[in-house]
Amino acid sequence: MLVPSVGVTLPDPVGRLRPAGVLEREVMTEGSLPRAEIDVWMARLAAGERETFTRVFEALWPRVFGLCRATLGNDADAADAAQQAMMKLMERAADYDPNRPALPWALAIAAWECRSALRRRTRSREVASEPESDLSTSQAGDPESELVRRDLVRRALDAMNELSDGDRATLAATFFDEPTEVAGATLRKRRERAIDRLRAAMRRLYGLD
Amino acid sequence: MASTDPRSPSDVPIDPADPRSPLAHEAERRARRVYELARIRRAVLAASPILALATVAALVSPSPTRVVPFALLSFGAAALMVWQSRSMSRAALVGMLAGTVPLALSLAANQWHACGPHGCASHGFSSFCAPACAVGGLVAGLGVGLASPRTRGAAPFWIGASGLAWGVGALGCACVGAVGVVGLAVGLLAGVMPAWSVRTARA
Repeated sequence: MLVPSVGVTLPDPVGRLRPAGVLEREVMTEGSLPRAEIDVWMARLAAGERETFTRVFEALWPRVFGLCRATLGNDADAADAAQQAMMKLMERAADYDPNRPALPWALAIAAWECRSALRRRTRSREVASEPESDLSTSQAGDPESELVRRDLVRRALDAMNELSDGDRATLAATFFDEPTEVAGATLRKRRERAIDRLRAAMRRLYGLD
Repeated sequence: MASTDPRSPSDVPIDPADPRSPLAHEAERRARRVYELARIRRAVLAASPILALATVAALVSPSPTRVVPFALLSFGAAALMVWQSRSMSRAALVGMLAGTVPLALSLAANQWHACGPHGCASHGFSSFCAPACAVGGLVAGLGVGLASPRTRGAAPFWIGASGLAWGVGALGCACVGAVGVVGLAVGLLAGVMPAWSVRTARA
């Protein structure tokens, strides 16, 4: 769960809604590389070691694709968004700060790309005709709850976009239980503030709390 | 009799989230290309100050055409270094900064001599240029020596930084021909070698 107190649920890296503890355990172990190693390989790729490219890609792809699949609701859109996200990621790879964890950084870029894809879809008015075609094959089974879930995800991403980079990173770290630069009381205080601001953004945008 | 699955393993569709899926392979190919293009863009941008220095040198120098080959050489080398890796990017930065010392000294010496307090000389040759290049090279070499890492595998850094310092310095020293460029190289070697010897002995 991204922000339990706000009541917004974001999907897990393989596209399913899970309780927070289960999700965190799965994210910790999923993929071919542990997250500490992803940080190391990403840092080496940022430094120009091309031989780490495939390992980084293979570690990030399932997570990025899972996020896009869960956000967009179907594999076709998820494939486009995930490809775009991976291209953006690798385009910015040289800017990666080795002192920061790689996974929240990567997922923040992927979330942004998913949000852009959602926006494009909304603009092109394809959303109205989508429920019949997509929801019949969705994972949730119940089309109505699937629609509600997607709407919540979209709103959560929109609200996240209203926040600063720091707040987004704090929330991403909370969501994925990622080690951060700070700990203890400072982290708790940052998290509280980020959640407050997310709540305010949700209220401002949708009148929700 | 063992039950047989009519589908071979290759018939089972691979989840697109799997890194071995065709979609992932295509995405990896594209991402790799974008990664390299982004690095090339950064490299060209990072090496562009050399073009600015070359423009200044060409405007100030009495023989601007001599600047061109060194400008192209230095720009290409710097871009290649930045593209290659982060440690070589640092070497490029060190080389560029170190090279500005002989460049500035040679251009200043040339200007001072050619347009001194008693008016401008009719020719561009400056007798101060060659010594200025040598002294500038010495200072640049010491700078490279101080800024280079103290690790055993740092030879590419030393070579890259020294070479680029020579190329950038030559933008100014080329105006006096081979004497200036060779003087710069001698000064640079004289500055780099002591630091190189000390550090390799310690490593």
